[in-house]
Amino acid sequence: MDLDAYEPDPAIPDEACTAAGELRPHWRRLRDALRERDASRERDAAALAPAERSSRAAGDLGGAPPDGIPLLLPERAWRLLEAGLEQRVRALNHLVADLYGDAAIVRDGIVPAAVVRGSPQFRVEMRGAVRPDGVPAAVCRIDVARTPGGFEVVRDNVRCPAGGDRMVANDRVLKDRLRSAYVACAVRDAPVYASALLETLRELAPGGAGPRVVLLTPGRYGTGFAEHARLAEAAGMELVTGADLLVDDGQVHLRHAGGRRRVHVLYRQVDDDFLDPLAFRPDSVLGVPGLLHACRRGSVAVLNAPGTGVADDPAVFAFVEDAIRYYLAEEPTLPGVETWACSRPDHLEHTLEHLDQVVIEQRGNNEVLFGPALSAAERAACAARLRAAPDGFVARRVPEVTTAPCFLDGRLRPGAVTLACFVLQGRRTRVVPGALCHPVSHGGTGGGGGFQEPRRKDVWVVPDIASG
Amino acid sequence: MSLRYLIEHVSRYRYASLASACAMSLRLRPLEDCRQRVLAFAIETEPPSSLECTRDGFGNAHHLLALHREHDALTITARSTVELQPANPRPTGLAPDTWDTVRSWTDRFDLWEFTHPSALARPTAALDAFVGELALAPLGDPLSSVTALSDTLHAAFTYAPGATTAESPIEHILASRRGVCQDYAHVMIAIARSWAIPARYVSGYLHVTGDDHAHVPGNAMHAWVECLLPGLGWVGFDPTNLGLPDRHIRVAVGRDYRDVSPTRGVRQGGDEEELSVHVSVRSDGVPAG
Repeated sequence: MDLDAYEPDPAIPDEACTAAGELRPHWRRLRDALRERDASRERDAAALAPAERSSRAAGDLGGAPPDGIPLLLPERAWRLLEAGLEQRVRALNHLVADLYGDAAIVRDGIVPAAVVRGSPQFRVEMRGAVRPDGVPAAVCRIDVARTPGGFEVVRDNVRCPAGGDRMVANDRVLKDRLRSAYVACAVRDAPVYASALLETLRELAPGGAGPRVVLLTPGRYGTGFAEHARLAEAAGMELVTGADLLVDDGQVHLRHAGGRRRVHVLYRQVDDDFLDPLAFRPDSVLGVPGLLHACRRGSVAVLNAPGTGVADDPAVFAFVEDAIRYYLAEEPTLPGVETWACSRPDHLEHTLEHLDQVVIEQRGNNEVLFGPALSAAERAACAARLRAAPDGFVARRVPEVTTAPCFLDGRLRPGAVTLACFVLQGRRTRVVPGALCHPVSHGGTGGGGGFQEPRRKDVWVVPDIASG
Repeated sequence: MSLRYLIEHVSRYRYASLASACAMSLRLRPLEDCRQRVLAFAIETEPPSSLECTRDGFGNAHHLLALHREHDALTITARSTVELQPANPRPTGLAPDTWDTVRSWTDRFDLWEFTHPSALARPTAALDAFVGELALAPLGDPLSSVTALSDTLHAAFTYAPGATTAESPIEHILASRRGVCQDYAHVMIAIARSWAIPARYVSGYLHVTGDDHAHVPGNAMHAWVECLLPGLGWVGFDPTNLGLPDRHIRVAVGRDYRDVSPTRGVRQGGDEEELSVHVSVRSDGVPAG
């Protein structure tokens, strides 16, 4: 299959093709490399088709197979994105630490109290438990739309975002299968995840050398267990459940046959509610009794810290750029997509008038309604819900995203691309690129969250080539 | 004139079988402020356990008890010596424009949890009906309003130990009109907050003398309410007992009972548990000096 056969929608800007339908220079390199490879009689269809045929990839990665064509991102664009993400995550960490401390950003009138305290993710129990210079959000996934003009953030995920290793495992599989193309494209910054995660977590350990880092999973019956096990193994962390841990003398310990060993960093994949039955839900058997106490004493780093989710509340989202200016005294280099908090009557009216152009999110709920895909009846039902309880809803504009060649329905078709970037914040920041590719719906883009499961897509950062 | 109080609070747990470990959250240390000084405080447990103190999100002292040995009984004894200054005399009312001040606090970041509903103190249909039936409504100023509210609740409910449990929803007392201090406090907090008055739950001890007729739990901590009022700060109201809360030793404050429960724990094994609590509060009069 040939990239020359790829036909983007002429109405939507495309990553691979110019408006005239010509492949851009760095995509031509990929095309040539793939052709050469075909010529050398490697299995072309097998190599390019989605990874269904590779039992190894399907078995290793779990979930839907990744897309067979990488997204080529010119280095200059990537560097801009990387700097913007780094800036955003630094500000998000300041924000969380501040909100559980002096809340200066509220006192100074930058963020309304109701926006923060109205978030179901705000945990009063954490007040005073995050050091002002602490890093509560070590692992963030920032979803970014690739737009004709650059990039726009559509969502921050700072609770326990999953999928980092899977996103990156794409890279290894694709690199293996498209080795000659990978070399020909001179891909920069091959993403690594598991080892970068471990380094990040170790950097955040309280004092002392040789910190022990463990991954706390809800257990083998939870949905994410396979991923937790894979990630723990890849990173060299011990995989533990709440029952393996205990808090004694203000420290967290890991039980083992011969006794116990102190734990310095807990990378948790258990939700706040279930993390410590003494602080949160008393009926939880997934957590560690007394963990919050140890966290407060600073003898263990729990990452991401309980209560961090306040920073990815859809209503708080609208203030992240203000937070960047406030904490860092810098101009945001990466804009967030425009949002409307339905708690404001004017924003509610705007949302109701533009339901077909927005994504609706309910605070404290993962439910997302993709306006453009709603039928007239669904739209009316949605409007009724918004009017009934406007405070709980936030609308965001569906960004105009560019498309890129994707394998959809067995052939190369334009897919709307959202980047899902994992940002690891330790003593330094590490940005790991990855992407999600959404099928394009008829007559419009599917970017920013549709109903169809997006396909994972690998990102190759390639050297800039003067366009011509 | 300040008075000194000696408090002993003993919680005895017995399990039906051996437990291999337990972890508990304790809120037993009296709080300290300009009215209340802690002269001495100690917790002892039998069997001995690891005990460590931090502050919780409300500023309360919080001890974590960890016991990682087999045991079938656990006794926690907290002894406090507290010096209490008499409460400031309180005006009978405030200026009507203090309502504006109180209402402006609804959006205060640091008061949010005391002006908005919480798990055990929240508006319900039964509460609306109760408020309507008793024609409870805010009066000319916030202080008179909560004073009248406290008195009305005192008259409306019958003190009845055993009628409810510590975590009973307010529906229980509203239906039967019988309950204990926790229930009185939760109802009062829910109504005060609905009037925009910041209200919080206080757990602590009440000192009673022989000729008192105060309702005081002999086997548990007492609970009452504090409301934030312009110019007065947090002012105590005890809807379970009439009069000013002037012999009330405060231990912890929170949104409702869940934030201040004196002992909350989880354990491995042990099956059924039996808890008996004994609280004694005595005054040895005026401290020397």
